[in-house]
Amino acid sequence: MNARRQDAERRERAPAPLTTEVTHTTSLETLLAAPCPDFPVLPGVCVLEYLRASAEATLPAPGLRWRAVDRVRFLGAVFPGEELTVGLTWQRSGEDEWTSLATASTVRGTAATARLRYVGEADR
Amino acid sequence: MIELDGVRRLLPRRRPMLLVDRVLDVVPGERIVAAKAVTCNEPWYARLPEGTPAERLGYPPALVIESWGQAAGILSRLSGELPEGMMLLGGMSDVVVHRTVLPGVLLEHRARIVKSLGDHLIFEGESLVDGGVVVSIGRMVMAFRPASALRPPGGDGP
Repeated sequence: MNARRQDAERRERAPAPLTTEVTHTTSLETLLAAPCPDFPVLPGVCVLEYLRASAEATLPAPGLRWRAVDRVRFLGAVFPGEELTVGLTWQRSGEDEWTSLATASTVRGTAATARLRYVGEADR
Repeated sequence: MIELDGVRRLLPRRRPMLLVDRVLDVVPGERIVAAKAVTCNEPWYARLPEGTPAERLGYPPALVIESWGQAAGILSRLSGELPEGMMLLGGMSDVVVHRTVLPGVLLEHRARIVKSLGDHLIFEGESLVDGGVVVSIGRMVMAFRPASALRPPGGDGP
């Protein structure tokens, strides 16, 4: 069987994308503690941490582990105490691999978009 | 070599978010090697029960990335010719988490400037433990913006 046909069959077997949403109230709790005391905007990696936490609260299969950030773009500031909603769409991207397309939004609009990749035990 | 006092002067981050302990080597405009010691006493572990097995004390990958980014930030500060203002993470791509980082290790961050584009700098590099790559950063874009461009909602900013 050629690789193209195998890929096509894999896509046919793959379930439809799973879409979900998680809302956080951002805070200066321990992980996010005062990165810049005189101007408490959340650092980009803290927003990334919210994306990761949201993804791991909605994993589409058991035993998945964060493997990669294929890309992330930070488009707007996030401030402590405001609401941050993370929308996620999960798609199977390999035999034991899932990809999450994530968008984090505040009342001002999109704060970040990302593509996170998770793998199972076999790909570790 | 730049010790912690020098790191504090170069970065606005403060405890517990100051995640570089020492700069081992730097060539301004080109590359940096910096170290960060990981311990189980860091506040990210405070909410875990005392008897949590050691293998479940993986250091948050986002903080490995933040620590690497701070090393890149020191390099940018030492490279001159950059706009004044806040150093912001604009984006990243091809970041791969190869291995879990556990307390007791010394992270060695290696960052290189790939390109300078006005008020943006692009870096690449990796974080290592005992010579093995634990996280690789394909590309990190850092932007420099005046603090006034990031006013909190309803506030006057700094």
